[in-house]
Parts: sequence; structure tokens; C-alpha cells
Amino acid sequence: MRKGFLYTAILVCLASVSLAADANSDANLRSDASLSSTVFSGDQSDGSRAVPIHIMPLIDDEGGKIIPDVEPILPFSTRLTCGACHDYEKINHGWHFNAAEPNIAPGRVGQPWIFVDAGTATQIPLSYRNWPGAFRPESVGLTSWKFVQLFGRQMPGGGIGEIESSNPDEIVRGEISGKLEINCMTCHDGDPAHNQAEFGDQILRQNLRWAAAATCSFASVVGKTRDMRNSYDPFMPQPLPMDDPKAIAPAVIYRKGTFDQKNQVFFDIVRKMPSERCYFCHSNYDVGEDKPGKWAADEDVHLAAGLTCVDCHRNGLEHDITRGYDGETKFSGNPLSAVSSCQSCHNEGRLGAPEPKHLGIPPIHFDKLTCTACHSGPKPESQTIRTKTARAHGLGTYNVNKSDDALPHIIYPVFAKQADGKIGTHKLVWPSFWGALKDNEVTPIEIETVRRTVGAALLQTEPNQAERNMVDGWPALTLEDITKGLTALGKEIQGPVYVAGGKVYSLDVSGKLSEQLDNPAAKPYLWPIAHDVRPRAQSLGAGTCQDCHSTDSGFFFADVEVDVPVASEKGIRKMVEFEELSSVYTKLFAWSFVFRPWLKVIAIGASAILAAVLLLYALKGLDFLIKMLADRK
Amino acid sequence: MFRTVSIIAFLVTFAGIGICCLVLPRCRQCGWTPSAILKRAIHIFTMLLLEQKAGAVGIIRKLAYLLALVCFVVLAVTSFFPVLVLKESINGYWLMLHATFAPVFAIALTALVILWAGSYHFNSRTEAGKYELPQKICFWLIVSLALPMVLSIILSMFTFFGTEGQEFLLNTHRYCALLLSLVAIIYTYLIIRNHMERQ
Repeated sequence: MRKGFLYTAILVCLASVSLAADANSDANLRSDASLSSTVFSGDQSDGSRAVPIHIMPLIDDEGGKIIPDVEPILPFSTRLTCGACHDYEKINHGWHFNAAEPNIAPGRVGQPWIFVDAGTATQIPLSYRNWPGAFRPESVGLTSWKFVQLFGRQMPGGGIGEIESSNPDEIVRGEISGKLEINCMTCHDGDPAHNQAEFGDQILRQNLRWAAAATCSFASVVGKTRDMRNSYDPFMPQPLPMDDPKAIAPAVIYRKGTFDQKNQVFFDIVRKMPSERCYFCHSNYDVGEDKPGKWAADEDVHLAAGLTCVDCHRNGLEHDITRGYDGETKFSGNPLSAVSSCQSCHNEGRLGAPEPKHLGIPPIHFDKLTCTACHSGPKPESQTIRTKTARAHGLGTYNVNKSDDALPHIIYPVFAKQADGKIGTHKLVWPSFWGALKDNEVTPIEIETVRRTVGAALLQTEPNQAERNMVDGWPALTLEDITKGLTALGKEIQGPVYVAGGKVYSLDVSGKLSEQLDNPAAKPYLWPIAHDVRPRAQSLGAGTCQDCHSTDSGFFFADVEVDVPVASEKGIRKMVEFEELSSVYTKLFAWSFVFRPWLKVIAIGASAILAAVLLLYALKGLDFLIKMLADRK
Repeated sequence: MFRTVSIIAFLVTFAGIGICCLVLPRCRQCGWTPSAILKRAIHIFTMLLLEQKAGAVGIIRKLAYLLALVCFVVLAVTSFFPVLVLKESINGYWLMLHATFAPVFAIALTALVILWAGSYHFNSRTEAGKYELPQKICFWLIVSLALPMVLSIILSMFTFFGTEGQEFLLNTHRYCALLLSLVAIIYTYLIIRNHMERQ
């Protein structure tokens, strides 16, 4: 009897526990479902084309409403302020933010971030995207924290800016500085006083939490988190340590009159942002003595015609912006990617795009060349030129190095064969870095190790020389310096190598410098460009076939600079190498165009005679027919 | 499309010639042995190396004929080999060879037409019995096809036509060349057959 009661009690207990667990899991599921199906009011369009007026309270990243006179006055958090009405998480997976996500298809090769360390003669393309030729930032020892410190200046925040570092010290600093949230205003601020340069400046000060606010015209930020001790709490400002009198705690000051009577703030938000917003991160500037200033250079023909960047590069809430290349549909979920390439717009006549006639251009050109090969970038001359880009050189940020030879050295236009087999216009950078060779694979060495070993070795200059000269932006190195650097590096790692100018330098068993030419790690990194697009009349082939098919045309025979820190190793490569064409064949083919006018004369003459003979005998035949009919009559 | 059409057209033409050789009583009498065919073909290609009984005009006629024949073979190989065998459009060294021999072919063909047109007159009495009607038809077909073939490719070198026009011209050139090749094959067969019959 007792036993039976005991068993029944146990069974009842088990059943109730099981039921409770089920109920709990149902509740969790419901909670997940309700979370995933949350509809943000700002993401549901009522169909109006007018831009909603954005007057709203500012929310700090603790979730508190910011009220002007209530201390501590904190910067607003876009995650909570903008995210109150818009799906921040969904936006954070958009193309501008998702580079570090492992499951995102990399798509066509794009511009990398280029890590530069002049002291160790390093210039290396990096990307979180799996683009061939680009190295992972971790390979040179860049944690997400350091990566943001270096390149956050030209990022819109979010993505990698919100990933916690794996380094314990950086985790502590990250607690103080906050996360680099998406700065929605980077693109959507219609206020002409928006200052994106502040974003980079605040990142350098480690004021990540303050960065977005600092770019807005109604807020200014003082102080540096960088100067604060690890014990500093930005939410509980405390007296500053006496041992650092110059340090100023980070603080935001909202301009007088920013808040209305309800303590709400007006944001001048635009859906269709002006191209100047895009230019902050997507500018380039050709350098060289004979290059005109930016004021003298013509703008992209699309912009000159009145379009803006976002007319073609569009996205919905997902912020999966179209990049605009052929075949993008394979990688993008954006339905507009199918109709946003040059071809699709110009063949369909979207946005008034003129239909290309391509008078006199044999159709085989369209199988072998991209549209950009003839229409984009500067016209090819006898030599490639150097250019600076916003992302590589920090154009538009404070205290930027304006010298023409500032690293990294980006070379263009380079006409090269792409993955799809077509020749397109590219920018190029020659990787220069210290690495380790194992099984013929070169991996970069963490920059701190390189600085400690190679950097120290390279600092040892001639006895009468205070410091190493800089030539063309690089430290003036010799092959002996490379040997010295490799010897120093070899004390710490196995198989030290230096990669530069397309070669891999290493030391043989006797300690002599040797070089290897065909290692994939040494290959130049090229990425296709689309802009600036030149008008039809200035395109290649608009003049004559000899725009390209001449014995000295830049398209095939230009000298492509081989950029390398060692002066004796500087050189050139011919454009045809990048086009993967035979130089003999290309030269012979170009020569054939010298005789093209003769061919035309001969063929037209022959056609005229053939036509005359045919006509003559046709008339004779007619004559015969008429006479025959007359005879019968 | 063009590749398929070409393959079918060549197969049909060669099959037609083969059937002719085997079935027609007139052809069967010629004794179509491989050595006989080879002998005639060599004869056609070595006309100038043989003892010449012809005068200056006759030599020029033969020269023009041989030049046109050699150029035709080179042009046919450089155009049809990449398309039919390599399955790619004509480019690279094939294209360069093709473009080099094309003007020579145009000159030789023009000379040939001027020198031979009289003999291929449908009402010709002077050369009666030498050329039969099928050969004359072939000759005038070759001339008629050569004109659009040459004109279409030359017009594409001027900036008169856009992409669609260019494609039309290229197709005109290809199909005219295909037809011309087929007619030239038939014409060569007829000449060989004529020679063999006379012997």
C-alpha cells in the first residue's frame, strides 16, 4: 500500500515536472516567435513617398531617455534610439555591416582594407570577406578592436564594431569606450552640418559610444576614453585621477535648443541620401605631378546627368545594397541586383539610360570585355598612375597625410582578366609583408612580432645616419636590409620570408638571399572598379579601333608599376600579362591594324568589281531573255 | 546554331557527292578510286608546275585560280576549324591568318571573275562543251555569294552599324561563307569529274 502510494507520488511528480518543462519550452518558443515576428513601426511603409519627420526622444545605451539637464548626459545609442522603430538587427546584417559574418557569400572581389606599417615596409590587403588574395586581419594580429581603431574611420559602425575582442585588456577598454554601433546618420543624415570626420576622430580617442553623436550637428564631444584608467565608469563620472591632469573625461554636449518641450530631437533623415555621403568612404584621388586637382577632374557621367549613387545602388530594410555587377544575383538576396548592372539598366532603358549603339564595335568585344573596361576609370596611357582612396588613405578625415607618395600605393587602371573570364578595369596593390613559409604557403606574421624583430633590425642604420631615409613613402631598403630583417625574424619563427613586388624573398641554408617568383601570396591584389564612368564619346573605341589595337596602346602595352620598398627591385610589368594574353600575338594583332585601311580599300574595290561583273552579266542575261522572247513572238 | 547548321550542311554535301559517285551511271564510269581522286586533286593544285602550253593570259588565269583556291582553303580552315572542331568563335592566330589571306582572296577572286566570266557565260559558244551547266551555276553562285560575304565583313569595320547590325553582318558573312564553301566543294567535285570523264 505504502509502496503503491510512493510510486504514484513519484509518477505524479515526474509528470508535473515534464508538463512544466513543456509549458516552459512552449513559452520560450512563443517568445522567440514573437521576437522574430516583431514588426517595427518604422519598417512598415504606408506607401507615402514623403520622408517621415523624425522627431523623437534620444535613448542612451542604458535604455534611459536623455534629458538635457539630467546628469550624466550620455550620447544617444542608435541601437535604442533608431532601433525603437527600425529593426536594428536586420539592418546590421546588410552588406555594409556583415563582412565578419562567416556565412555571408563574399561576392565579387572588392576593395580590401590595406594595413600599412611604413617602419617595417608593410602594406597588406586585408578583409573579413573570403576574397582571394586578401588576408584575414587576425593573420597580422589585428583583433576586432584594433581593426576598428585602424579602419573604423571609414566604416558606418555596426558589424565588426560591435564584436567583442578576444583580448582581455581590450574587453576592459571596450567596456569603457562602448561599442561602435551603426551610425545611421553616416548615410541618412540630410543635415549639411553632419561631420563624418568626427566619427574617425572619436574612434581614435576610443570614444566609440560617443562617435555617432559627435557626427551630428546638434552634439559635440570632448575628452578621450583613451586617457581614462581601466577603472573609469562613463555612467558614473568620478573625479579624475590626479596623476593625469591633462586627461579630460569623455562627455557629450548637446547644442542649446536641440530638445523640444517634450525633450525630443529633430533628425533631418533622408531616404535618398546625397552622393556626398557615399563619397566620404568611396572617393578616390589620382596623384602625380601632372594630374589635375579634384576641381579639374570630371565627375562620373551618371552623377553629371543628375543621378545619385543610390539611384543604382539600392536596398530595402535589409540594407543588402546592390553592388551592380553582372552575376550578383548568385550572391545577393536583393531582387534589384538582377536589374542593377550596366547592361540591365542600359538595355532596359531604366532611369532614362540611353541604349548603347556601339557603332562599329564587333560583338566579340562584349564576350571578352566588361563594360567598365572601355567606359570606366582614366583612359589608359603609356604608364599606370597612382591613386588614393578614401578607405585606404583616410581621405576626408582629420590630419590625413596629403603627400602623393603616402602609403598604400594603389595603382590603376590595370586591365586584367576577372574570374568570369572578361577583361575589366582594376585597381591594384602589391602586397609587401613579412611572413612564414611552410609547404610553399606564405602566411603573414603578427605585426607586433615583425616590429619587435624586423623593425628593430631595420632601425639599425649607418653609424653616421640618425634614421632611415624615406623614399617614395617607403623606408629606403636594400637587399641587405631584407637579409638583415629575415635573419632577425628567423630567430623567432621558422621559414621567415619577405613578400614584395611579386616576389618571395627568403634565406637559403647558407644565409644568402634567394627569391621565388610564382608564389600566390606575392601576387598583386586586384579589385575591379566601376567608377568614374566616362561618357560615350570618351570611351575606348569611340575614336577608332586603334584606341586599343595599336602597337603602343595603353590598353595592351602600358607599363604597370611594380611597387616595392627595395629601390633596386622596382620595375614594370606589361599590361598584357594581367590580361593573360600572349604579348607576341597581341603585338602582331595590333600590327595588323596598320594594314586595316588597305584591307578596306582592297575589299571595297573587289566588291565593286564583283558587283559590276554580276550586273554586267545579269544585264547580258536580261538581254538574252528579251531577245529570246522577241524571237518566239 | 551556326555550328550545327554547318556540320549538317557539310555532311549533306559530302554525302550527296558520295551518293552521286556511287549511284549515277555517268559517275560510276569514272572509276572513283582514292588514287584517282588524289591524282586529280594534285593536278588541280599543281597546274602551274606542269608544262605550260597556255599563253600569258592563260597563265594569269591559272595563277588567279590557284591563288584563289589556296586562299579559299586557308580561309575555310581558319574559319571552320575553330568553330566546328574547337567549338569557339574565330579568334587569336586563326583570326589573324584569316584576315591576312582575306584580301588576297578578294583580289584573286576578282581577277578570276574578270578572266573567267566570259567562259562561264550561260550563252557561251566559244567554250562550248568545256564547262557544263552545273559548273556554270556553281561559278555564278560563287561570285554572287562572294559579294555579300566580302561586303558584310567590310561594312562591319565602319561605324555604320550598331550591335544588332554587327551581328546581322557577321551572320551574313558566316552563312555566305558556308554556302560559298559548299558550292566550291561541289564545283571542285564537278571539275574533277569532268577531267576524269575526259580521260
